[in-house]
Amino acid sequence: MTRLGMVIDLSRCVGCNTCAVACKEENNEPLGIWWNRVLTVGGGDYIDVPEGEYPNVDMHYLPLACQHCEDAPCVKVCPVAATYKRTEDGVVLVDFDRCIGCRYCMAACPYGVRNFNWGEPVYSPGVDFPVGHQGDHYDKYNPSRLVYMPERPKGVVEKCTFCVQRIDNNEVPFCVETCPEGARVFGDLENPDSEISGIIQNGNAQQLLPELGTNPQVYYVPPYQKKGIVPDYANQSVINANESTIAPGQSIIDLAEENGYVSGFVPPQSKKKGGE
Amino acid sequence: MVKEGYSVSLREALNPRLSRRKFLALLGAAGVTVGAYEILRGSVLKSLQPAYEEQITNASLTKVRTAHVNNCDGSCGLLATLNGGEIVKFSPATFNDPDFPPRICLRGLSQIQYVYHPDRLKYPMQSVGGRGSGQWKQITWDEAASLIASKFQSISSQYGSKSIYIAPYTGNLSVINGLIGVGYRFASVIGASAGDFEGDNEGDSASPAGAVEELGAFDGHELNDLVNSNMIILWGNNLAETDIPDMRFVLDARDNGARVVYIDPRYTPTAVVADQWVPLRPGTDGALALSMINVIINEGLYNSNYMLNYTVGPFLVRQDTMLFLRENDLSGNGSNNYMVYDTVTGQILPYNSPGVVPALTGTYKTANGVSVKTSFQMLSELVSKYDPSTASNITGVPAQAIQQLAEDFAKANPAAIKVGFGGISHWYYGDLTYRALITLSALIGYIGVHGGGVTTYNGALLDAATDLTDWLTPDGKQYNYIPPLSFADQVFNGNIKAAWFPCDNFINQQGDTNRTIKAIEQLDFVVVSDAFMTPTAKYADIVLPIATEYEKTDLLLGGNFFLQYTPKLIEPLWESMADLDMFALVASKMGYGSYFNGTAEDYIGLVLSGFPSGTTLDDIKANGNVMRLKDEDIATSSYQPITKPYVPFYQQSFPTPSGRIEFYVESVVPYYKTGLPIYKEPNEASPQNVLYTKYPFVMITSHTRFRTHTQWDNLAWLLEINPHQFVEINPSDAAAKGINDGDKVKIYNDRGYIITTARLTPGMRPGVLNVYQGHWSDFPTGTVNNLTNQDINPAQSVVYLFQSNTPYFDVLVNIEKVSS
Repeated sequence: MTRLGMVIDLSRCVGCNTCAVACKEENNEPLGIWWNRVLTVGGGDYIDVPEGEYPNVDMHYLPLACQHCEDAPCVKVCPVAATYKRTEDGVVLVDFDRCIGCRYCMAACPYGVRNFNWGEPVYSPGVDFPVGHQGDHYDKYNPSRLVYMPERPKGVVEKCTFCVQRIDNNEVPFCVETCPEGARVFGDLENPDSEISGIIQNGNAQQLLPELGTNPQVYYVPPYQKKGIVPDYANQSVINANESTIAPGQSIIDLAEENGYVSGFVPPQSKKKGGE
Repeated sequence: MVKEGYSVSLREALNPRLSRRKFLALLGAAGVTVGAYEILRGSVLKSLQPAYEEQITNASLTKVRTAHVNNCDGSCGLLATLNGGEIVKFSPATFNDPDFPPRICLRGLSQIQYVYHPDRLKYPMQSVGGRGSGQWKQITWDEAASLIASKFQSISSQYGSKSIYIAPYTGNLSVINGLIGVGYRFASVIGASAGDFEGDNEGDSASPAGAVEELGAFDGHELNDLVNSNMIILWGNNLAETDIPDMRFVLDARDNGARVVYIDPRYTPTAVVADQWVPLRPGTDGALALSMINVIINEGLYNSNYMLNYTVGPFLVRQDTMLFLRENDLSGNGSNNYMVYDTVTGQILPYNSPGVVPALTGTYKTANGVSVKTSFQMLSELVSKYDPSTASNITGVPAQAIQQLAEDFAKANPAAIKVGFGGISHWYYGDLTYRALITLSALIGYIGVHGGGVTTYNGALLDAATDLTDWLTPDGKQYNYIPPLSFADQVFNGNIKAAWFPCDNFINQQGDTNRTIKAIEQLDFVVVSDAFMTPTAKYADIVLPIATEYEKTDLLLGGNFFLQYTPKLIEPLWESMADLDMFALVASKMGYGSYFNGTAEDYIGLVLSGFPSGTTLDDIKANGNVMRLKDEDIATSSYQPITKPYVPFYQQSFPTPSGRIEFYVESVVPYYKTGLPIYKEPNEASPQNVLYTKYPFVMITSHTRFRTHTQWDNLAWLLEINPHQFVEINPSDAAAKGINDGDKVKIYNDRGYIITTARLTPGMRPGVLNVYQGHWSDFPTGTVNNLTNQDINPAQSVVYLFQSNTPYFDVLVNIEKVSS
C-alpha cells in the first residue's frame, strides 16, 4: 500500500509564503481562503515579529495546511461521508458533490486548516477566470467523487488535497515544486527507500500534536539549530550556540498549545491563545 | 472627461464572474446566454460528465517559457500555461542546467493578477486639470503621439534637445522594452538626455563604485558558487526575503557544513536560518570590517604572498602627496612604474625590477627625502585605530564577537561575502564600506577563487559581452548623459525642461520626494508610460498605457547567466502598447521613424549580433527559450578563463590602473585625503550630527518580500498576507513615545513626513525605525522617500557611470503618535 506524506524542513523555511501563494494559484482559492498558510512562531500578532528582547530574539516559521491524518477527526464527524480518507494512498479529500456545509469537520480539526465558503467566492480583481489547474477532477480511484473543481460554490468546506489533481497525474503537490528553498519533500511513507522515509527514520522529523493520536502524514524537521559561537549581548561577550538562550529550536510539538503567540493571517477558528 | 476610475473598475471587477471579453466571445461563437455559461462553469454539468476535466485540459492548454523580468535580481524562469487566450498559471521553468534549479517566489506566482488588474491604464490620457489633479481626458494613441512629438520639437528648438530627459528604469530589465531598451535608442536618436542602464541610477551605486575603484570592475560570483564556501557572510543582505530563490544556495552550503553569518541591524528571516546574527549600529559596517582586518593582521592570519603579488600592498605611497611613488619621482625618467622597498638591496626600486623582493611593511625615505610607506603599512596603521574594543564602541558588536568573526573568516578558506544592493550601498559612504569588504577578502586571498569573493550582483546584465552600440546609439547618435540623482538640480538650473518616465515610478523611488515633485512641477512637459496610474503617472501631462511583459516580445539579460527569451503570450490588453511600438509611433511623428521600423525580434537579433559566439535568437528558441551565456559571450573572457560556476578575477588579473587589487585608490585622494578604505561616521544618520537631538532615530527603508521595489503593491493575494504599510519600532522606543501596536504615527524630519501604522517588534534595534520601501505614496499619507535625501557623495564622481547614489538609509527622523 501507499501512504503519501510530506516533510517540511523548518530549518530551511524562511517564511516567504511562496507555498501559500502557489497553493492559492494552483487551486484557484478565492480571496479570504488559504489552504496553506505560513505562521510565525514568535512574539507578536503579526508575521515576522520575534519573541524576546533585542537582540536576544527568536522566531521561526510554520507552514500549515491539512495534515492528512491517519486517524482523521474530520472524517469521523462528517455526517454525509463527503470528507473521506482515500484508502489507496491515505490522502484526505472532500467530495464537493456531497459536502452539505455543516462544518462539523472544521470544529473537529485540531489544526485549523479547513476553510469554509461563507459567501459566493470572490477572486482577484480582474481575474475573471479560474487560475491554476483547469477543469474538475474526480478521484482517480473513486471516479464518482468530485475532489477538485476550480470554483467551489458557496457553502462547501475546502482544504489542502496534496494537489490531488496533480498527484493523480504523478506530479508532486505544487508547494513542493515551487518551494524556493527546497524545504519540502513529498513521497511514500510506506516505502522505506523513499527520501521522505529516510528523513523520518533519522529521527529528525516530528508530527504536530502527536498526543492527539491523529498520526499525521505531514512531518516537520525542527527549526534550525544554530552552530558555533554567537555573540552574547547581555554580557558583551560570546557564547556557544548550544548553550545559548537565543535560539536553539523550540519544540514544534508544543507550539500550538503552550508557546503563546502564533501569528499569521490565521482564520478566527484556528487562532491560538497567547499574550495579553 | 473621465476620472482615474479606480473605484469604478474595482467594483466592476469584484462583481461579474464573466469578463467582457469572454462574454462577447461566447455570444459570438455559440450564441449561448450568460445563464448557460454559468451552468457550464458551475456544478451541474460536472456530475453528468466525469471525463470533463480531461476534455478541457488536454484540448486547449499550451505552455510557453517566459521569465520574470523585474528588478529583484532573481530573473526566474516562468512557465506560463495558457487556456485559449488567457494566461491561467505561472510555474517555475527549467534552465536546462543541472546546477541551476528552477526557481520562483510568491511574486512571480502572482503575476496573473498584475496582467489582468482592473486598474491597468487602458488608453492614453491627457491631463486636463493640472498635474496631480486626477482629471484626465481620454485621447487616441495618434493624438498622444502627435502631442508628444510637437511638444518635444518645440522644447528642442527653444532649449535644445538635451533639455528632454528620458528615464527608462528598472521596472523591466529586458533589452528591448525595458531598462536597456528602446528608451535609450529614442533618446539617442532625438538627441535627448538620459541616465545609464548599467551604472548610474537612482540609488545603489556606492557598492559598484567601490568595486570599480578597487577591483577595476563591478562583478560577482555566480550565486550557486556559494555552495563552495566554508563560511558565508551575508553582509547587510536579507537574502531570504529579497532574492528568495538564491537563498537556497546559502542553505545548501550551510547544510553541507558552511557557517552562515548575517550582519544586519534588524532581525529578519535571514537571521532565522543563519548560524549567527550580528546586529550592529546602522552604517557602521566599515568599522566592523576594519576591526576584522585589524585582528587578522595582528594575529598574522593574512596571506602575505597574496598581498605582495596580487595587491598594491608593497607599493610605496608618498606621505606628502598621498599618491603612489613613481619611478619618475626619483629618476625623472618619465616612468610611471610603482616602487617598492627591495629587502635584498635595501633600496627603493621599481616593483618589476629583476630579483626584487619587496617589503610588505615599513616606512622609508627616498633619496630625495620624501617619506614613503607601503600601502599595507598604511592599512595596518589605519586599522590599528579599530581594535575590537574600540570598534565595539562604534558598532555595538561585542569585542569578542568581532575577534571570533575575524578568526573564523580568516580560517574558513574559502569564505564568501555576499552583499545586498539595498544594504551598505544605501549609505553616503557606501563606497568606502564596500572597499573595506573587498580589502578584508583580499587579505586572505579569497578574491577570484571558488567559494570566495565579495558579491553584490552578477549575471548577464553585467557580464554579457554584447556590444549594444548599434541598438542604443545607432549611427553614432549618442544621448547626453545625466546622472539621475542630479535630476532635480538639473531642472532647477534650467537644463531639463521635459521628461519621459518609461518603466520608472520615478517620484516614488527618488530620494526626497518633495524636492522631486517640486522639480517635476517646474517642467514644461511630462510623459509617463506605465501599466498603472502610479504616483509618478499622476504628475504626467500625458500618460500612456504600456503592455505588461507578457504582452510583448523581449529578451532578458538578468541577474543570472542565462539569456531568456520572453515571447508575447497574449495580445496587449485594452489599448496598451509595447514600449517599442510606443517609441516608434512618437519617433515617426518626429521624423525619426526609420530608426524604429524593426520588430522586437529584429532588434533582439541586432543585440545578439554583438555576441562573439554568434548565438542567434533561433538558437535560444530551439533550446527552450533559455540559454546559458557561452564562455566567449562573457565580457571578461578576454582576460579571464571562464570557470563554472562563474568566478570573476579567476586568473588574478584586475582591470585596475596597476593590474592589481587596489585597496589604496589614488583617484579618491582629493576627496578622502587618503586612498585607504577609511571608516567615516554616517553622513546624516550619526549621533554626532547636530540634527540628532531633533531627530534621534535612524530610519532605514528595507525591501519586503511582498514587492519588487514599487511593483506588486496592488496585487490582491499579496495584500491579503501583508495588508498594511507600517513602521517597525522597538517596544522600548514605542513605550518612551507612548506608542502602542497599531497606533497611527507620524514620522518626520525637515524634508517631510509620512503617516503610517506602528508595528512593535523586538527584532528592531532601539533607536532605529524601518519602513519597507516601495509602497505607493498615497498609502495612507506619503511615500517613505518624503524623508530620504539626495545628498551626493562627490567622491563617487571618480567612477564615471556610478556618480549618483541615493543614501536611502542615511536618514534621521523623529516619530510621534498621531492622536486618533
